[in-house]
Amino acid sequence: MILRIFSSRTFIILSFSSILCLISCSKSETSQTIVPPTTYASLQLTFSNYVGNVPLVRNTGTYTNAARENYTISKFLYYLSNFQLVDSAGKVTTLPQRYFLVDDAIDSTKKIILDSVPVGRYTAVRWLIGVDSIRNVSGVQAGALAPENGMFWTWNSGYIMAKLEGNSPAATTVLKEFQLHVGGFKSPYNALKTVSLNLPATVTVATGAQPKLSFRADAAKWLDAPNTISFATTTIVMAAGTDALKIAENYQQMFTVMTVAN
Amino acid sequence: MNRKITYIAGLVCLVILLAHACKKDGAGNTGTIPLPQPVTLQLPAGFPDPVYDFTQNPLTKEGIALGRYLFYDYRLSADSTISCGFCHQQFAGFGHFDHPLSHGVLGRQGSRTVPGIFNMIYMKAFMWDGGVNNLEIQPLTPLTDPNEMGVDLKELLKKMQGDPNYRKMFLAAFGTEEVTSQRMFRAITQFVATMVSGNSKYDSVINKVGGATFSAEEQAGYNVFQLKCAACHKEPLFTDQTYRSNGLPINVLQDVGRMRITNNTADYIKFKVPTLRNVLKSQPYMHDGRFYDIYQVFDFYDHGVVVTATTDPLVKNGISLTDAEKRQLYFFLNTLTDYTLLQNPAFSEVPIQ
Repeated sequence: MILRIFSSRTFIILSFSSILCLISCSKSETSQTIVPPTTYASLQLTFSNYVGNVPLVRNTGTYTNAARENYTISKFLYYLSNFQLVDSAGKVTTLPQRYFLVDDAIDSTKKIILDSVPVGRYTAVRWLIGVDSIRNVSGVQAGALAPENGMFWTWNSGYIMAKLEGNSPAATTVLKEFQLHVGGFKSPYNALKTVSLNLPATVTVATGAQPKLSFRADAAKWLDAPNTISFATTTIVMAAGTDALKIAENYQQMFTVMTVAN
Repeated sequence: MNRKITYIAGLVCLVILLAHACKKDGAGNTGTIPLPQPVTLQLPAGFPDPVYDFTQNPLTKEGIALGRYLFYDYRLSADSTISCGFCHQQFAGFGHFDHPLSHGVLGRQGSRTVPGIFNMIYMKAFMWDGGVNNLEIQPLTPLTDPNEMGVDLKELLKKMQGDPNYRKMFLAAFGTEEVTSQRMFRAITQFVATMVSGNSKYDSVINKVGGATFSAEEQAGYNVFQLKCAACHKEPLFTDQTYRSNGLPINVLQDVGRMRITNNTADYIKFKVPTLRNVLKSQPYMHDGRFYDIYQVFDFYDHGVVVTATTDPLVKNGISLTDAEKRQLYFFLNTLTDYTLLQNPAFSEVPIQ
């Protein structure tokens, strides 16, 4: 019987069908793999938190706002998402959706790696401070967006886009503590702000290299312009509304590019 | 002979294919854990499509079992006194029987009554003020509210990760032992999603099941209901899911209702229209549980409405009800009691180990 299978005609048919099988398998395999139209590489972004011209020192650093009130900072966190890169021709490349929570208390959060960046030369970068409206209504999320990060309003669903807490003698609370929690994704209190920064030098994203962009985030900008925030009148912000909008308008200006390292 | 060859060739092909498939499968699965068993929810006839999107969280036997265990685990609260099921009692339509205001850890009290939580998959928003926008994140509020379960989510996750029993259940439901908040909330959602109430006498009559008919009084009550209640308590869910001020005089609790959510004065003292399903089992009534008896509710609509700037036009002039109509309404509302929800062993308390 075994021998008979290997009689010439049988063998040919057998081999032929096996080959067909293999081809069909490998074919289906190929169709499942998405052939990238462009090459992708990565880009590193680092964030250094400042208050005015000095690096932020939580709890012990004392600062003064435009309303001439002294304050210290105990918590400083912000979400970054919806990254885009712009080339010299003005062409905008939207990167795959990622969400990052920068927490001044956790150094590892200050370094962000954007992967799946199409190789190329870029002259500007854009992102959203906060979490886009879709993720605010899509149920429980994971990673940077997980609710245990303390950046989600439970009583009125939505992310806290950014948070600044500290103490000031001008604060009206018993413990002289201020808490500025900025959020809101629905009109008329949509606090989502886009940051758009021109790079001082072109950044070249290429395979085998990881260029670095470093940024400064100035917490003092939360309080200064265009809306002067006084702790005597704005001590606690914990809901979407006009106060949150005013602060969001301010902190939209908090980022500056420090260096571009190719 | 030819047929035999084809047969053998096919067999060889199959072996190759299988080997290939196995190899692929092996990469994503450790091979020893059985996959969770899919569960199909039987939805009542005539109900709308569920609002909850199951695509990211398909129901499984193990997921529902984990959710049920979480629902009844009092250790999820700060002082191990309050489980979800503590306030959401099955026999009371998953409301808190006889308690006007919600209870919490350390003997604390909330400011609203516990709403019954069934048919939640059909709801667009949650809580009396609609502040929560997705069923999955709903449990987040009672878990972390200091007046309810008052727990620190990070601490809780750590505690659960250290519990071999939970690790086992997370493994069964989600494929690995990792305890995450997303998995926890999705499991609770799965359990709550199965709490569907659409099998009352009313449903049997409407769907003409087994020749069910209303009694004369029930039918009369249904007529009163359709005329005087159904605009807000819309069938088949018996709520139109809107927020309305029904003319309740504001009391010492000073609850501004939906205005707190929208920042809009037009929403002052507006609350979500509650369902009337299982209503006779879920007293007390109103957002603050101020009425213990359904007849007090009838009397309130008949002659207790206090008109403010936001009072709903439908109740502004009260809803007159004669004694006979109240009695008829009572009999009709009784047909909305669904014993297949209230007595279903699949929803009952499980022992916590």
